Amino acid sequence: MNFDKMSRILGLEEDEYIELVELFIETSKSDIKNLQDAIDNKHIVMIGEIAHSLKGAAMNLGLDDFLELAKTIETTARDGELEETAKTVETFRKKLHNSVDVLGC
Amino acid sequence: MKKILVVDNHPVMLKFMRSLLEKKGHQVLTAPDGLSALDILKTTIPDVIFVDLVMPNISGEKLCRIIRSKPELKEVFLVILSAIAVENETDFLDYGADACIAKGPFDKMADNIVSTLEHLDTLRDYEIPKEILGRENLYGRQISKELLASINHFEATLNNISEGILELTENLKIIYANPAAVSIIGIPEETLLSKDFFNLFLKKHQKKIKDLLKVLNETQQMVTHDAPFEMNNNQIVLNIIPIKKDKHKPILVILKDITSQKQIETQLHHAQKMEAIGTLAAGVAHEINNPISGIIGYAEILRELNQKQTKENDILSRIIKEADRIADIVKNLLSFARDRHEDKKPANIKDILSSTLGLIEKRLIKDGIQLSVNIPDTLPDINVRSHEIQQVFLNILNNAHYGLNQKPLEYSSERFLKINCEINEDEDQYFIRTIFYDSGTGIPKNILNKICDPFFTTKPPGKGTGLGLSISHGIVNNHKGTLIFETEEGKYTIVMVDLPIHAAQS
Repeated sequence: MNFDKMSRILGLEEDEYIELVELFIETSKSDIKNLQDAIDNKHIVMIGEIAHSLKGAAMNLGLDDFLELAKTIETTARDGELEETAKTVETFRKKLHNSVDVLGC
Repeated sequence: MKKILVVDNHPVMLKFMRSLLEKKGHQVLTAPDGLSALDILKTTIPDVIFVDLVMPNISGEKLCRIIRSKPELKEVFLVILSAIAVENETDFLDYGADACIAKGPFDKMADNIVSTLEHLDTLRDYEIPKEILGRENLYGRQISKELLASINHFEATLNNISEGILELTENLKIIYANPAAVSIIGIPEETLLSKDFFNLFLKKHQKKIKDLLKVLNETQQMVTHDAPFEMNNNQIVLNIIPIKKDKHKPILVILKDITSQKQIETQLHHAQKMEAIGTLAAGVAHEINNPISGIIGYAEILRELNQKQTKENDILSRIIKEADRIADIVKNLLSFARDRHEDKKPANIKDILSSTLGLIEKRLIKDGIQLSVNIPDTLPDINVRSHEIQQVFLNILNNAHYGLNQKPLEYSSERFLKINCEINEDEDQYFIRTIFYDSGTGIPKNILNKICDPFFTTKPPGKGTGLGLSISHGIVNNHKGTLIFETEEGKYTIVMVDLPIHAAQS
């Protein structure tokens, strides 16, 4: 991830941006866990709410890949394709894991 | 420098807003949901509040309305900061908000936030656009629209069912109330939200609620029909349901108002009781009738045999007179106890009224009430169930009697009851109006619309059932007639019974 470029686009200091992304990763970890629980319980409304919140934060930070994944989670859950939802959540989780490596936290 | 409160459930948003606003020299407070925001607002009055719309427990919309309902927060500048504002065509002014900024990439959002705050410094109301700022930067509109559509269906359902629905947090704070719940509880929504569930109940019910909630983790709990709770003068039953699957562990409470159901049940019980009493009375009356005619017959024989004016003869006359009285009472009893399903028959109001007065006249005179009855002999017959009309008259007379006796002693010389009849015409329909005019205590204006309600009574416990007028009302209605009241508290009551005339009816 090019933090310098991203932060410049969003008008933030680089360290500030990194801090926010770190927070995003931290929060998203527990969100993912809650998403997995919600999928197990077929709790569509809750999946929708969590995905909505992830979507917002990804959009705020200009994290387009995460934004697309969050949108897919929301649509597939709404259409009842929970298998697809679960797969996308897993992709999200892996991607999050990679970012953790990138940031070194 | 401004004191700013930011309410949003995503930590990234809170952190970003904090650093953005602190850099501009403002003091920033944050809250992750509506309830925590309300907690902060108990002790702090910020200059500006930013509110997200989609949040756990109390939604942003509700939060805005609550804020605007509190006088001390009237002046606060309220900004909605939301991603769904555009899709939902949010009427943020209707929520009580002053501005609305769409969520999006931080740079665009930051521009809108900063410029809104700057406008605020210069020209308060004028310069703030009454439209959503930054809507062009929104993504994924379609998806959320679908989500909203399904939410709207749920909302329509919740808004229109007759059961009250409350949602509570784990800590029993109310975070949602549908319109039915608001009307059952009788507290405005703005006050209801964030209130403690316990405080809705009378002290005597709080312990029971506590006990129910203790065992709530196991399964849902009910307050049933056998022992309903009182709330806002209504009788309600509860169904308390824990939502285990939700990580916030909310509790749903379904409220049902069973006041009228209970009343109907009591009314039915009463009717059954009256029927039993009626049957009993009829039996007793019949059994007494035979020996009474025996007594009268034998006394008359003795009198015949003893032609001279003696003391014995005088006693015999008294025996006959008293026995006649018993026979009259029995006749009246029978007329009440007779089968309710009999057909209407032509009858004369004058006859019905005199047989009713026979039951109560003595008591009125004993209590020093001047009774004047003026019924013309020329009234036409009307098609009625006589014993029912007799019951109506008796109820009205009893009420007049009671009202007259309640009047303070110094007015005792002015205590009268006047009864008369006239023929009236209304829309080509002729009817007989029987008027009962008493100078009793009258009826207070504020209860006038309730006096025909079942179980409404102003008499002390044990003195009245509250059924007299409601039954009378029902009877008069069944006869296609009307019951009219005119009264002035402390002065008089006029009750008019209008009954259609036989000929015009068929």
